[in-house]
Amino acid sequence: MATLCAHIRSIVTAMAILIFAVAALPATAQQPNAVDPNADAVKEQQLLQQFDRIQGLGQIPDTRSYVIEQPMGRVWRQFHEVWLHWIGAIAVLGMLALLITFYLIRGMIRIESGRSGVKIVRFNSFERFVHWMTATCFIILGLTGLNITFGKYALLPLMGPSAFSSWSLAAKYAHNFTSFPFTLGVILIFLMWLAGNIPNRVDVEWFKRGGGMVGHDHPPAYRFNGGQKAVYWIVVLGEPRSRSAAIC
Amino acid sequence: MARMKFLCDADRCIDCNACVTACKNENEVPWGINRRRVVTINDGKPGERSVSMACMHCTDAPCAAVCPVSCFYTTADGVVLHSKDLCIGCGYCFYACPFGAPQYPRVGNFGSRGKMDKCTYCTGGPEPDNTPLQYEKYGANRLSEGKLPLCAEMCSTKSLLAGDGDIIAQIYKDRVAQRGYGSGAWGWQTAYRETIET
Amino acid sequence: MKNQAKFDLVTLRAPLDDPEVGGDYYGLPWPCWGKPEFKHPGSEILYNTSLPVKEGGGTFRARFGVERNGVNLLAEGSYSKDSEIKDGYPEFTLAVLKKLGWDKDLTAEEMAIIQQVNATNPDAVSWSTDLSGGIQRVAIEHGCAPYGNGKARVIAWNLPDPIPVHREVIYTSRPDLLGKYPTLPDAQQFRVPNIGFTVQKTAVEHGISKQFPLILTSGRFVEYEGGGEETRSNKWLAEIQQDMYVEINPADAVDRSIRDGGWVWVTGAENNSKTRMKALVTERVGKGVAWMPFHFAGWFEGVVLRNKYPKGRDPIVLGESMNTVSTYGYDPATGMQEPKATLCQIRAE
Repeated sequence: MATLCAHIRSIVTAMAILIFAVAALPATAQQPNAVDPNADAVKEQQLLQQFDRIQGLGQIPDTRSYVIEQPMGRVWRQFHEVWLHWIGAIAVLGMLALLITFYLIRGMIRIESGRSGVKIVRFNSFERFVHWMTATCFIILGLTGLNITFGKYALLPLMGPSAFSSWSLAAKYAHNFTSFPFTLGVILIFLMWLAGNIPNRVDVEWFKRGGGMVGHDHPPAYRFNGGQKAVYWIVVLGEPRSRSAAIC
Repeated sequence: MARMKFLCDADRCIDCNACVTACKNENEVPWGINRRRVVTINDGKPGERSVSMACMHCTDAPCAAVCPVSCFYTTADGVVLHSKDLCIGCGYCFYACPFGAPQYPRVGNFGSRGKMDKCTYCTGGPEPDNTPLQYEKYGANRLSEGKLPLCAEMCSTKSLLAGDGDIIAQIYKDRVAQRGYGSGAWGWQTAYRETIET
Repeated sequence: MKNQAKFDLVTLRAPLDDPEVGGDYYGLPWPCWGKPEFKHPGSEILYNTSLPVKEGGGTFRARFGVERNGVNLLAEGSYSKDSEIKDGYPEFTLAVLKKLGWDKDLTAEEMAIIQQVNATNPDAVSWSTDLSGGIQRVAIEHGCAPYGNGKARVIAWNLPDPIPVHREVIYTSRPDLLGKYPTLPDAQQFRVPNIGFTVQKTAVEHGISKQFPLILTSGRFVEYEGGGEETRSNKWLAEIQQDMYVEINPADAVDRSIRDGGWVWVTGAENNSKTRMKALVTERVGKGVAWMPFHFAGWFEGVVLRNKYPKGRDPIVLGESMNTVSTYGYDPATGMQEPKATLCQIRAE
């Protein structure tokens, strides 16, 4: 009896092993290849994290075409379509609002005792030329620049696409070309009027006394008063920004 | 309505440039303008992949958004086109595009780039369909004849798929299910770090 | 193209009942026997004995004769389905048909043409010279392949190396292997004396592998066709590959101070040959190997020869020719030029 049981046991065990072996066969057949062809494949995500752009090798001479994804474009779009609109609107309209407010509150600042009729040369012809060259360029630059940012909202509905495009094309050239005389003008202004614009204690006094804009005070100044010096430095130090724009 | 898209299966692309040549031929694209290009990542190393890239005809096209003269428009099929008559060649669309699709014929001083040119999904442009003028300016108009862009039609391995976004996505999904997920589909979603996987 | 949609994508066969292309395999793959009325569907898989020859099957061609050194070269126990000869058989000639009694199946016109082909010895006219096609037709109708039913062979006894063995290239970077793997001895090959062995020995004696340590091989652009003159005249394809270049491994480039895209001189082992081109530093080639495309021409040893082309016929893109630096070599079986694997040296300009 015992031997029979042992016999049966061994047979059952053998069959079990056989069944498992047969069952295991399909599984091994379905197992993927030992070599995974995608193992070293670079993932898009990993490239973006590493370099913030995806660039490879192309065949044509234009190496810019080797970049296939540059997410920076979205930041550029955000800046130009959202931020710049706010900055531009606040800068332009804000300044306009300030000026209007000042005019309404304080009005024009008139010469106290009226004109005396005596004239002196304050700026020679060279200084005047440089100033007006810079100013004209600035106005052109300002208007054409505003056209790039706001033109399609403000002018396109009024002019229609064809006329607006023609105007914008001319504006683009005007903007690009006047940037050079403008920059030259600013450099000349910087050099011409540097001596007169060095800040000193007189300017501190001038600011303390409100520069004559509040009340009837007339604080003294040398060639340029404190306020004028402030404008000078803002213009001259803002020039590098315009240079960076000109590069684009 | 169908949204027409491109999908380049980077696991299949063999960098044969058939798509590039087909596009050049079909649209008579002049020397120097490359509407479509093939770029190879990891060239020479294991895991080398090639991708064929042209305009991806984005649903929310950055080029259209930043254009100062609004010369872009999206057709009913989702194809992003632009008017060369209105274009002022400022270059903004190139800066905004994540894929570098806009091309310019000249490298002039101060942005005199000339009229922007890009992949039109073989759909032509604002001129009347199938006229010589449209062909001269924008290239072939295959979509109006019910055909898909020639680049995808000529792809030797069918890695470049063109057609309704849902259909080609399904084709790609079937492929991935069959062979496993490799370098995946490369495009807009992943360019802006909004991927399917985290 | 009209009937393209009818063909099954997997079997490449059109359904049997179609009136125009029924039963055909797409493209009517070779061999497709007989006249159009014969309606042979093409042979999709060669040597498929499970199909009758009439339906696209075939046997292994008996082109090496009937017997060699007492060994039967015809097939034994392998024959096509529905074949009337249930064994191997030689190529069909009129003599074979007569022996089988099948020559009676030839029509009078076919017989007349056969007589015309070889008036002195019509029995020698075979399936391949019979202009009437009758020998082929009769053979196939009896279920036999016209080209015979022979055994496939592994030992190609009529080739220089009956079983391929390794032989070092003539300009080898491993002269130490030449003792064991020399190239074939000098021999007359058709009209050309093939002195590969002598050239190989001379190269070793002059220490060529030390002066020219890089293995040079060449290849084809996937975009280009043929030699390259026509393709480089095509404005779209020329734009994709505008410069002749040599691919060089980064390790080799560093050793030679070569930068990617820089100009280099590639010098060859014979005739002080030199070529000037750009370097593509890439890992596509292993260390010690360089690769060049063979499609370019129009430059010679650094000089642009565009003005030598007939006016208006110069291709858009010109470049150095790879063959300027390639070397002696002829294929031992066909005598075809075989300069592809050779040695070179590269230096930065």
